[in-house]
Amino acid sequence: MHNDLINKYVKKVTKNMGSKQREEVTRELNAHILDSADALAEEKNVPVDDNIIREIILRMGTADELAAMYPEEKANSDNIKDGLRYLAKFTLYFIVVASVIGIVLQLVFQNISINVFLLVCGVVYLVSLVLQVIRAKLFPRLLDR
Amino acid sequence: MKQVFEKFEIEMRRGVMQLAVICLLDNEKYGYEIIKNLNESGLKVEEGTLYPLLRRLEGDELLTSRWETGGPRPRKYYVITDLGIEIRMSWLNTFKTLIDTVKQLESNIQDKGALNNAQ
Repeated sequence: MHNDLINKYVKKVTKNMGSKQREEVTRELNAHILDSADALAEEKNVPVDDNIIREIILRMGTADELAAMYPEEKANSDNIKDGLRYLAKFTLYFIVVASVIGIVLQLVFQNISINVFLLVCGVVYLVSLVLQVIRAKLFPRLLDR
Repeated sequence: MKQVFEKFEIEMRRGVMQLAVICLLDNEKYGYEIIKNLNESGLKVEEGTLYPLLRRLEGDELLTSRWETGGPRPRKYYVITDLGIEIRMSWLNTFKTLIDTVKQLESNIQDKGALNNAQ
C-alpha cells in the first residue's frame, strides 16, 4: 500500500529526467525512503505504514524542490523523444483550434472553400512551427513548462 | 530575524556538505549511510539534498559509483576518485583559509558584548 505513496513521489521527482537518470534516481530514492522508513519505524517501535512513509517524504522536501536540485543529464535519444512529444502535442492543439475556427467560419459564412481553408491552415501551421523552433532555441526553458 | 539566520545557516550547510561528503568517501558508502555518518558528525543534513549532490559530484568525476544488488534492496555505493582526492585537498585548503579570514574579521568586531551574546 505505501509503495503507492513512494511511487507517486518518486515519479514526480523524475518526470523530466532522461531515461537512464530516471531509472537510477528511482532505484536510489526508493531504497533511501525504505531504509529511512525502517529506521524511523524502529525508533518509534511501530511497523512501517503510510504515516511513516509520509513523514520520510516530508523530510525529503517537495518533489519539485528535489527535482530542481538534480543536474540535467539527458541523452540525445531523450532530447529526440522530448522533441517528438512536443511536436505531437503542438500538432494536436493546432488541429483542435483549427477545427473550431473552421466550424465557426462555416457557420458564419456558409460557403467557405475547404481547399483555401486547408491551405491557410497549412501555412499558419508551418509559420507557427518555425516560430516555436526559434523560441525553443532562444528560450529553451520555456519548452519544459 | 530568525528567518535571516535560518536562510544563512541553510546556505552555509549546503556549501559545507559538499566538502563533508567528499571527506567521508575514502571507503565505499551508500546514500543513507552517508546521511547517518554526517548526522553523527554533527552536520544535520536535509535528506533530499544529498542525492542530487552525489549525482553532481559523480558527473564532475570526483566520485564513482556501483550498484550492489545482492542485499535486501539495491544500493548505489559511492567512493572518491583520484581527481576527487586532488580536488578535496584544494577545497580543504580554501576552507581553512576562509575560517582563518573569518576569525581575523571576528577579532576586529568592536561590540564584543553583542558577539558574546550571539554565541
